[in-house]
Amino acid sequence: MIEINELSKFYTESGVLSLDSVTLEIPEKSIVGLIGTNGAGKSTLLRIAAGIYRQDSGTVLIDGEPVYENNAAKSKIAYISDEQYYQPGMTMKRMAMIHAALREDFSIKKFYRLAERFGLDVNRRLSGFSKGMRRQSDIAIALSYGAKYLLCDETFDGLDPLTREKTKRIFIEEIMDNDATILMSSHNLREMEDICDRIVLIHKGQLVISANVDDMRGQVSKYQVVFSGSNISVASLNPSRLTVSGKMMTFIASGDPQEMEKKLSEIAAGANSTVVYCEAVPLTLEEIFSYKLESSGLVESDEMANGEVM
Amino acid sequence: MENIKKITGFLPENAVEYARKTFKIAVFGVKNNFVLAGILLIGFCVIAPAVFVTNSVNRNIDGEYLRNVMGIYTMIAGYVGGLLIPAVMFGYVHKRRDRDFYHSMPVKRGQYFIGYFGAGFAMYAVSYLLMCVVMALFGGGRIDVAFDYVLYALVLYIIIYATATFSIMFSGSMLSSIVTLAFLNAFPVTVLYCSIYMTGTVNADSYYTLLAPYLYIFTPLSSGYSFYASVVSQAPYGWTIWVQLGIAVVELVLSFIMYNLRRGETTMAVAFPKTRYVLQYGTMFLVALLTTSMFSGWWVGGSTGTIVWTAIFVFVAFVLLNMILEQNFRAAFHRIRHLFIFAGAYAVVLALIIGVVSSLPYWVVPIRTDAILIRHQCFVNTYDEPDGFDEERRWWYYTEGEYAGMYANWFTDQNGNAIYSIDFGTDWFMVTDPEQVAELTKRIYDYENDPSYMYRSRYNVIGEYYYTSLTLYTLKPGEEITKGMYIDDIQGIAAQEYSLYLGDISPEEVEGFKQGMDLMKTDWRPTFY
Repeated sequence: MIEINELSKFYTESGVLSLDSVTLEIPEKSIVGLIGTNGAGKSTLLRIAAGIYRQDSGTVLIDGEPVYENNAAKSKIAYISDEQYYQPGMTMKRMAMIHAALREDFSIKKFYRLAERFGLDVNRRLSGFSKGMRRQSDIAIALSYGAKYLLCDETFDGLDPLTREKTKRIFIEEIMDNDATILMSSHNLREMEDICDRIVLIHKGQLVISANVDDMRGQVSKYQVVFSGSNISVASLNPSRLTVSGKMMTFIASGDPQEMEKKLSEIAAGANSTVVYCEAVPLTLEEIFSYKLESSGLVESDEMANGEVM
Repeated sequence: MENIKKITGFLPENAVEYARKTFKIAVFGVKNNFVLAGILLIGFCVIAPAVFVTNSVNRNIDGEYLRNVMGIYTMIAGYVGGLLIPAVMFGYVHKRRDRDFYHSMPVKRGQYFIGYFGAGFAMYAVSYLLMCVVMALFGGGRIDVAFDYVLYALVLYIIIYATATFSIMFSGSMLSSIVTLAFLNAFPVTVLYCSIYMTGTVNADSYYTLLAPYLYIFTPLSSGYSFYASVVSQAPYGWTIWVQLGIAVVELVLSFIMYNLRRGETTMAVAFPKTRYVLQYGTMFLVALLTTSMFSGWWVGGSTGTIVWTAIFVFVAFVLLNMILEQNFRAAFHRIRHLFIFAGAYAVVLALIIGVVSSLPYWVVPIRTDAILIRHQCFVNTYDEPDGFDEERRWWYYTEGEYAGMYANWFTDQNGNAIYSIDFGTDWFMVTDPEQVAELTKRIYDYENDPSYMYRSRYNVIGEYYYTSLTLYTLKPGEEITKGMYIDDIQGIAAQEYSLYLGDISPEEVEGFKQGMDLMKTDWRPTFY
């Protein structure tokens, strides 16, 4: 298990509090998605969890051991950076040799197998690879460790759809074989929805949401309601993005859908009206997160509307 | 125990595992830097011997010649290895992407540090030893001579490697590492140079002889040259190299600690933000000291010229350092007010070093001049050949003709012809009249600040030449300051004062001032001359 407790990180150079008392648990054999805007603190959190950066306060424990400058803990981690490291003229094979020299758990056999699966020429220079191919080589190398924990920083972001699908498929198949625990960051909620068991939302260094995907879907819904009467207020339900088009009222609210229907009936009765039509439409994770950020006051609705946040 | 672990990265009971992994990193360091190893091998074992062979054609290669060549090669090897190897092996600490990669691996920072030191040392040592073998082969089989300096080669490497590594670990970029390296190595010799220049004494009892060995100990980059100088002079290399080795060990320990403590996310030009000001203003201080020393004198317009030149160089240093340390061209003029604060602080420091009032130009602080002693010296320049040369006095002399009994110095004119400057003697005059003193003081400073002065030397003029120098006594309460100045024009001043001298100044006072003049020759303060 990865335990992150009251983690804070302040960048003295820029005067930015990148992480502010973040507390999080990554259970074993789970896939956790780390979502957030640019500058939210995702990469910082991953780098601290990988033992690259030292936190200012709080703890990061890998199976109960602090990770920073701890070879035993770091041996359990494979970190895939958002920026690939390679030296000029270096081939994929040479890169793998470097990893093998620095990590005793690196499996050359597995590396060649993965390279073949991805269709990569190991004797070709990395500088000649496309962005997608370089990402694939990164994944192949990281998976060759057989590490217990995989920390992936925007691994699939920026790839074309075809490459992304292929890469994701191979990645998921491989980690399923190893029962690895994954913590991966991304901007792409839709993609996280497909892969992750759990989603963590970070905004401006603070943890906003940490919840199971299925639970989250059940918590927030979009409601389309038609009352027989008019000018009926649903303010007591704390709706978000309320729109009225004729008699059709659309809003987002959190709560159990059955409970919500009951409340709507009570509201209608109170206004000498009835609920003519009510449907709870499941939301995408993107819509759920937008609602959560707005309702917590962390972003304004026009930021969401302009797509500035996600 | 926790503190040991924090600094070294391991606990003693894990030492075996730590050492095993560190050795593995050393092996990795060599394999991963095979290009560097190749460069060293080619440089030491191919290029160096090739140059030796080329320069030794038609020459008898004896042990003495080979020894001198090995001395040069040992010096060069120490510099090349000591500077190149840490720059290549630790260059990753300045690049975020590279740094993140290496620090994400299950390898402690200390293991990288020690492992890479071992790798670099091994590459250097093997290359140097192979060079000795090759040189012995080309040097007539003189193995003993070729291997004579092996120990020094390794020690020099460690000394230079240590200062370079310290600079890299202290800094956040290669450029600021170079600034740090220059600052660390320039500081002692700058202090030495300026103390000599500002006190004006260079003899057996001077600051130079006294301080030089100690200050050069703290200049690691001088070790190679000092070693070579001892080879050339065939003097045994003294104790200083071993002290420098000790200092190098301290530097390596500090570098190890800095590497462990520096933040992984740093992108600044210095790894520890607050040290930026030490580096910037320390370097500016050295630049100011050097400029003040080098650019003082009448040929740059006296005190005013010195101030102007110092200000220019310090401003340029300030701008360049801003850009380097903030890694941004647009930062050139940041914190301009700090520059003014620095200028004020520097003026105070300078005043403490060389004395306050006598160093300032008159337009900054008017000097109260109570008396002026004029040394009126008469020379005659002639092409007439002297009759002999006095070995003891080191002067030419005449025994016949109009110059009989006179001594002469000599120099050459533009065409290379010898001119003999005959010393007709010196007269002393005292000026005490307040109005005369004030007028003369003004002429002194106008003359001092006239940039055309350098073109008004009359050394090359044949015929009579009156050379007048002047000692300015500024009598302040409890303080006497002497200052030597040249003046060209004493017309209307001296003539009036001859009688004053004769009438009002006692012979004892004249003798006292003469002694003051003699003292000035050995205690010269030319800084604001």
